[in-house]
Amino acid sequence: MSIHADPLETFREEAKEQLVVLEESLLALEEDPADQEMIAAAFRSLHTIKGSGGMFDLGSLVHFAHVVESVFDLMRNGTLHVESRIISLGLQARDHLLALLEHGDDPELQSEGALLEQAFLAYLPEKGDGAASPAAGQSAEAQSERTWRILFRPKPILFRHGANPLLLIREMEELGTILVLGFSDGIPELSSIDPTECYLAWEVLLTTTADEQAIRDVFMFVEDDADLEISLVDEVADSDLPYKRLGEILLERGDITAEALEQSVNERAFLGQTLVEKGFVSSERVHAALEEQRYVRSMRESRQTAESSNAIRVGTDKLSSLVNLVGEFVSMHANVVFTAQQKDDRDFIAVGEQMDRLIRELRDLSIEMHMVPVSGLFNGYRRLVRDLASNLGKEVRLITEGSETELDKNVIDLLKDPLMHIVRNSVDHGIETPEIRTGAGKSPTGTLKLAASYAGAHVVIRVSDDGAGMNVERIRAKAIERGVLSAESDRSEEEILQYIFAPGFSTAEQTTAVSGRGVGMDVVQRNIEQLGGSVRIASRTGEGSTVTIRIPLTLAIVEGLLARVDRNWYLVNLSYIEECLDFDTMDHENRRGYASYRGGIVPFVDMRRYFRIKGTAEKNGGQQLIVVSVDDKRVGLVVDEIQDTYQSVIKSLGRIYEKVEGISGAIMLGNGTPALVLDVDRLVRLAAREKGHE
Amino acid sequence: MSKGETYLLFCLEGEPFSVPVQRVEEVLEYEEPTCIPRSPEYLLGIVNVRGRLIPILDLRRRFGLPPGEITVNSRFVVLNLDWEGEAVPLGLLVDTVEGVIDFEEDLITAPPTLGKNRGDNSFLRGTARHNDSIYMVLEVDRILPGDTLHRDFATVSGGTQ
Repeated sequence: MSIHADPLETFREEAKEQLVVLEESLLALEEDPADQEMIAAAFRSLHTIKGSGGMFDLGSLVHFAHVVESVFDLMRNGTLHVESRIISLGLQARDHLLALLEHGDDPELQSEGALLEQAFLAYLPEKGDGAASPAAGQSAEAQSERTWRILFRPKPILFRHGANPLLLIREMEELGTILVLGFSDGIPELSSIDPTECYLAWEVLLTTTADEQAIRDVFMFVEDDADLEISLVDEVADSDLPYKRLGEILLERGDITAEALEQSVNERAFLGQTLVEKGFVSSERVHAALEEQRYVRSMRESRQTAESSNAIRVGTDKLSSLVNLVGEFVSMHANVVFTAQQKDDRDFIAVGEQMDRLIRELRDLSIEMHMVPVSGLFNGYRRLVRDLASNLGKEVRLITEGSETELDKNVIDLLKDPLMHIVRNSVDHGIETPEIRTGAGKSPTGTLKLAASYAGAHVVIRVSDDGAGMNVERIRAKAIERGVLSAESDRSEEEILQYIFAPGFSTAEQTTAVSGRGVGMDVVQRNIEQLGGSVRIASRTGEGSTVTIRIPLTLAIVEGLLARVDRNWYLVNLSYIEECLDFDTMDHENRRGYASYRGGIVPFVDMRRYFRIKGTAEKNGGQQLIVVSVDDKRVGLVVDEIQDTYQSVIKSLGRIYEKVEGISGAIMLGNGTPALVLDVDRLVRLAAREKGHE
Repeated sequence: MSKGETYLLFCLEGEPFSVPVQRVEEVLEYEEPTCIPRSPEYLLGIVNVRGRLIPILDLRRRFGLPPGEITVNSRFVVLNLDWEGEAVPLGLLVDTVEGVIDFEEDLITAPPTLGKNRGDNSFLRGTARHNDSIYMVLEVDRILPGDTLHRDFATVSGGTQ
């Protein structure tokens, strides 16, 4: 593992983030072309890509970004109006930039780039030979901040010519950050003051990216009526050095002579004080020099904070490794506690308990660091929805809700494809064309909503549309035709809808290039189940459909109850458990699989039978009923024994065991042997389906 | 001697088998695997090897041999399979591990073609002759083909419930 990330790779990553911002701003502009902020945001993204690309010798990328940026600059300053063609071009440019980032400069891209570039150039006013080259533009823009000292000593006649020093200072303020120091030592005795004359002088420290000429321009009209001294006092390049000492500053400003400094520095008292006492300089001047010193220091500090800020970028792979290591650590700790208990060493056990607290904190913190809001995921579909809708001649508005909800980054990555499929389906099959919608008395624009919310240790994501809804009868017919449902079955509409997740199930009368031939939904379900989640669909004819996905907050570490079935230990995720009951003392009907529960009945799954274990549980051991619930469906799981709760990393069983049913992974117990994680979601669904037959 | 490859030798039911040593990750002593219900019976379950889960295959049952007894010589030979385009570890339960041996590539002869109803022997790359003994050389990636496994899982899951 290398500690130093490849700078080019970092650039690519950052540039891709900028492209995401660009795309979002463009799509926002499409909705509201007058949104100045979005124009500026798009411009900034392009500008950043261009700027940092220049450091990596990515000539064609920089050049292309520059051309596009110039067009956005025209829109930013109002010379050019935002129109949909520019936005479409902008989106194409974004794709092209992405391609350049990913594939470098291959010939195919070059011709494509040249075409796009022409399209953009058409928006730019004709320029002579002096057209700004990206390199020139960049050097002027990339000019870093410097601090200047401006001594402005007006001649007494200044006021008579109608000049106002305050306005000049305000003008400088517009160039950057300033510190203004006034000198009153030129004021004569009260008796000899002429109120029409100017006796004051100012020193201004200005931190700006502007050059000397720009500063001089401020004083253009008073040049003849004042002494003006402009000097550069601090440059970024030497900001690592401590700033000048007081003596140096005073000397540099001509406030004291070298001799005076020489005579004073050897005295033990403070230099400033000594100089004033000896009458070499006024206290006002010393104060000004000290102010300068403080100002430059604070400017440097704020620059450094801006550079380092209080956040650091860490590669997600490193964070993932951290989460995994913490997970391993949790397991290792379980091992330590187990050993301590085996040896019955009290001290050791006490240390283990203390460690337990720390480890919990460490676990929570590392998981938290690995959480990202779902907004990125949601916004990633805006383009898809837009393109899809315009291809299909539909009008679709995408709205998001709860996009600040956070999820493990790994979960988000794995959710991207299944969710895309659902979104595609909604736009393709759910939402109708404007004509049909208008005919049905709906608004011509369909709405697709992506909503996320927390539900215990899970996050629920809903994709809903206000489209035509699913045709239950057609799904039922199809299910019967495919032999997965008997014609006499009296399943509820809701149950029948779930058949769309069966393999090769599609009721679209015509398959389209967009949604394909119904190979999606079974894969969607499979992918989500692999994440330890579930997916359900609800629909009302004419009103739309809602697909609900429920997924765990994190894949990394779970807390569950250890339950034994025969010789194996199984982990039941705590977030599903409602309660545990003594099964032997409960009224239960084994053959039909129901137990009386809270005045009603609850269906149960005998885990021994489900796992095909021969023989019955030992007579003395009391069997337990773990009542679990998923989506308001309650099911009991009959196990031989329950133990403590246990937290651990879930490991995948790997490809070989991919098709096993009822088990979703494994954990390591304290003694190092693996235990299996029950796929509660599946068991509940299975039990519900079984009982549905009766 | 022309180019040879090193093979790991092990025995099943007294018959010598071999796999290229390059594909062997390690050889482990037997420990009882955690069995995974509702799986084909030739899959014995998983073992934890330094935090990594390794599925265990009973090679006797996979090859249709009578089940053997676990002895002090029983070993897991952990292989690195190329399984449907993905690297997958798989531990083989074998009776004994004998050691390593170099075979000349050209001394390995193709396996005999079996009659149509004699079953599938595609997991066999051929036989190698060495010091008057004949060793079966396994085609590592064909020991557990994906379609076979999926079919067997479907068989196990179907039926009851």
